[in-house]
Amino acid sequence: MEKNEDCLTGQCPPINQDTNSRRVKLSEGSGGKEMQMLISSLIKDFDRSSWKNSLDDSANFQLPSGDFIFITTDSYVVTPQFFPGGDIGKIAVCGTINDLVVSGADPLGLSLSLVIEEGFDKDKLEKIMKSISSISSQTKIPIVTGDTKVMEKGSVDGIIINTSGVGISKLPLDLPLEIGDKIIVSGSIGEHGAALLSKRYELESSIISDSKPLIDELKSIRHLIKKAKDITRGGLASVINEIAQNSKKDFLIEEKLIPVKKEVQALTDILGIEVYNLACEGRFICIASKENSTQVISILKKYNETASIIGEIISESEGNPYVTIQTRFGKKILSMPSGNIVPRIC
Amino acid sequence: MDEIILKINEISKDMGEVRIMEVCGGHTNTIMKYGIRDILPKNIKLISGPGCPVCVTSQYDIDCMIELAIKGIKVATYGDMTNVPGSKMSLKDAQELGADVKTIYSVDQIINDKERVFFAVGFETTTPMTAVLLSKGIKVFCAHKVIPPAMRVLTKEMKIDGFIDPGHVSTIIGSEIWKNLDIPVPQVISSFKPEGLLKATYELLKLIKENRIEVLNEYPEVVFPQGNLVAKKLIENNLKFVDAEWRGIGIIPNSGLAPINPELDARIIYKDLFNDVKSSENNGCRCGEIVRGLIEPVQCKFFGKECTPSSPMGACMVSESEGACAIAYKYGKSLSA
Amino acid sequence: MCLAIPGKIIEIKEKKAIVDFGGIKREADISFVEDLHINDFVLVHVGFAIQKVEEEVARETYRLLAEIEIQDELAKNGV
Repeated sequence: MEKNEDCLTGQCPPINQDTNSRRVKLSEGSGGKEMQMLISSLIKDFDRSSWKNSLDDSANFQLPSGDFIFITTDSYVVTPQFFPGGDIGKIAVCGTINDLVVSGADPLGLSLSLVIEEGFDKDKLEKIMKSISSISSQTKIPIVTGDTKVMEKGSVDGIIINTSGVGISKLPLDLPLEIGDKIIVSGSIGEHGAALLSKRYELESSIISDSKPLIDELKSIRHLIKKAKDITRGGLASVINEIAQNSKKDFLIEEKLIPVKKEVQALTDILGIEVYNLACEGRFICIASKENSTQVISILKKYNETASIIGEIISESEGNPYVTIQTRFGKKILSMPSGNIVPRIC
Repeated sequence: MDEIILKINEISKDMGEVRIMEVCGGHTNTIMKYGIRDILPKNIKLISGPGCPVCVTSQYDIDCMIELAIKGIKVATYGDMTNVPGSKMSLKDAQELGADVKTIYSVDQIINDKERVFFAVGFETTTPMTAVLLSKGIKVFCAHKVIPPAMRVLTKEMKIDGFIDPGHVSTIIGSEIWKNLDIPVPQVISSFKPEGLLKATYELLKLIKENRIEVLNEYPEVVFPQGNLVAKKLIENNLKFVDAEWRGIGIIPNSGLAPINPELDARIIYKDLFNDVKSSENNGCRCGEIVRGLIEPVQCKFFGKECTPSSPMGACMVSESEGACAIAYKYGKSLSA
Repeated sequence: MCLAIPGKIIEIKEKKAIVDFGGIKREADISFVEDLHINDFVLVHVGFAIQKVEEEVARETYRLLAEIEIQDELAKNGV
C-alpha cells in the first residue's frame, strides 16, 4: 500500500475520501456473519443444478454409477506466512483435504495455484512448496495440476495459494440430526489462531498451530457419526452456529467441557479476545447419536487426548436457531463471530 | 459460588427495583461473558454506565484524528479505536485508503517515533502510559477522560441506587478518592472476576438496604487507599485537567486531560487542519442514551439490523469488549429476560 | 475498561521486565512499581506493570487455567 512517507506537514495531497458501503470490507472475509451475507448476496443467481450442499465445505454430485463425487476449493492468505507448527503451504493442502474428508469423501487429488508477488523470496517459496509436497506424500493425495502467476510488486501481499480438491464416496456424510445427539470436538481449540496472534503481537509462547490433515481421524469414526465440519476461520463459534442453522435446532454446550490449552487461554486473556472465535486448522466438530458418542470419543482420544463431548442438541428451534453456552455462572448465547479479531487494550 | 447467589437472592427479596450502575466496561464484559444478569434476581437491574473509553469519545475528536490521518500525518491508537466510525469513515477505513494508522497494544511500540501522533483514549488506568509518551516528547491528541465527574453528573439526572466502582482505575487513583466525591449513593470497588463482581454486588445491596452511603473496597489486593503514587506523579507532571465533551452526555467541566506542554498537544499543533472538521451525530444512533444507561441496546431500532460490529453506526457497537451494544450483540441478551 | 492481568517476573533489565502470563511471555515496563524482584507477581495493563500482586492472588486468577493445564498434560502424554 502506498504510504505518504514524506508527508508530515499536512501539505500533501489528501487521500480520496470516497468510502462507503459499496466497498468490500476486511471483516466480510473473516469467516463470520458478514462473510455469509456477502457470499449469499453474490451467488444468488448461480445455477447449481444437481449439485448438492454447494454452500457447505464441498459440493457433491451423484454419478451414474451411484457414487458421489465431491469438489471443494479454497484460497489461502495468512499473515505471517510462517508460524510455529506450519506455514501457508501446509494449511493450503490440509484445509482442502479436510473440507473433503469432513464431507465423507476420500480425497483423490488436488490442484494448486500460486499467485506470487514480484520480489517474493525464493527460499521462502521453496520452503512453502516443500511443506506442500510433504503433506501430499504423507497423505498419499497427489497434486495433479496447477497454475502459477507472478504479479507486480504491491498488488498482492507476498503470496496467495489456491487449492482445489476432488474426492469420491459411496455416500455423503450428512445424516439428519436429532434431539439428544451429542456434539463432539476432536481436540483443544484455537491453537492455530493463537499461534498467529502471538507472533503478530510479539508475545513469546510455545503455542503451535494445530494444522494437520484429518483423514485418519475422520475415517476411523465415519461410520459412527452423522455430520462433521472442520473448524477454520471464525473458530468453534462459527462452525457450531452453522451446523445449528442448517439443522434448524438449538444446541447447548458447556463451557467447562470445551478443551482449551492453558497457554491459549492465557493469550486470550491478555489480548481480551474470545477463544471460541479463534481459528483452528486441524480440529473438527462432529455430531453423533448418544449411543455412538462414547465410542466416537474413545476412538478420537487415540488421536488427541483432549477430544471431548461438549454438549448436545436440545430442541427444535422456533425461528432462529440458538447455540447456548452454560458458563460457570449463567447461560449466554454463543453468537456467530462478527468483525475482525482485534486485541482489547483497555 | 452458589452461596453468594443465594445470599443475593435473600437480601434482595423485599427490596423492590434496585438500579446498580457499573461504570467500567470491563465489568460490563464480565457480566455478559458469564451471563451474570441471567442469574440475578429480576428486581436487581445492572445498568452499564459510561465506562467504555471509545464509546464516550466525542464524534468531533474521532473526526479530528481521521482528518489528521487522511492529511498524511502518521497516527497511532489502541485496537478498538481504529474501527470507530467517524462522520465520514473510521481510522480503519482511512488506513485501507492509504493513511498510516498504527494499531498498538502498548505505547512502547511508538515510544521512539517522534513523527507519529498518538490518539490517547481511556480512563485513569491508561493515562500514565500517555504521560510516559509525553515525557519522551511524543505528540498526543488527548481524549483521556476521568470517571468521577461523569458519575456525579449521572447521579443528578437519573435514578441510581449504587455504583460498582472500576477496579483498575482505582489501582491508579486509589480508593480514598471515591469517598470525597459527594455522590449520595453507596459504592463498591470490584475486581473483574465473576465471583468478585457477585460479591461486590452483594455488599452493595447490603449498603443500599441499610441506607449506608459508604465506599467499600472489595478489590484490596491491588487497590490501595492512595493508589499508585509513581503513576499519579507522572500524570500530574505531564497532563492537566480540562473540560471535555462526552458522547451522549455533553461537556463536563474538568473531566478530561490535555498535555501541559503545548508543543506536544496535537489539538494545538494541528489546529488549522481541524477547521474543516464538521461532525454530525444525527444518524439516529442512540449511543448517547445507551452510554447514560437510559435505554438498553435492544431498544434501539438499528440494533443488530443496520448497526452491527462490522458496520457500526455508533461507538457502542464497536468495542467488542466494552461497548454495550457490541457486547449485547456478541453474547445475546439475557436468556431469561 | 482497563484489562489488566497478573503475571510473574522472570527477568529484569532496568525498567523493563519479562513477564510470564501463564506460559505467554512479554516485555513489560516496570517503572511505575518500585522494588520489584524476579519471581514477584505484577498486574500488567497495556504493557505496563501497575501494581504488585501477592502470589496467592495471582494464583487464584490462574486457578481455572491450572485446571485446564491438567488436561493439557494429559494431551502431551497422549499424543
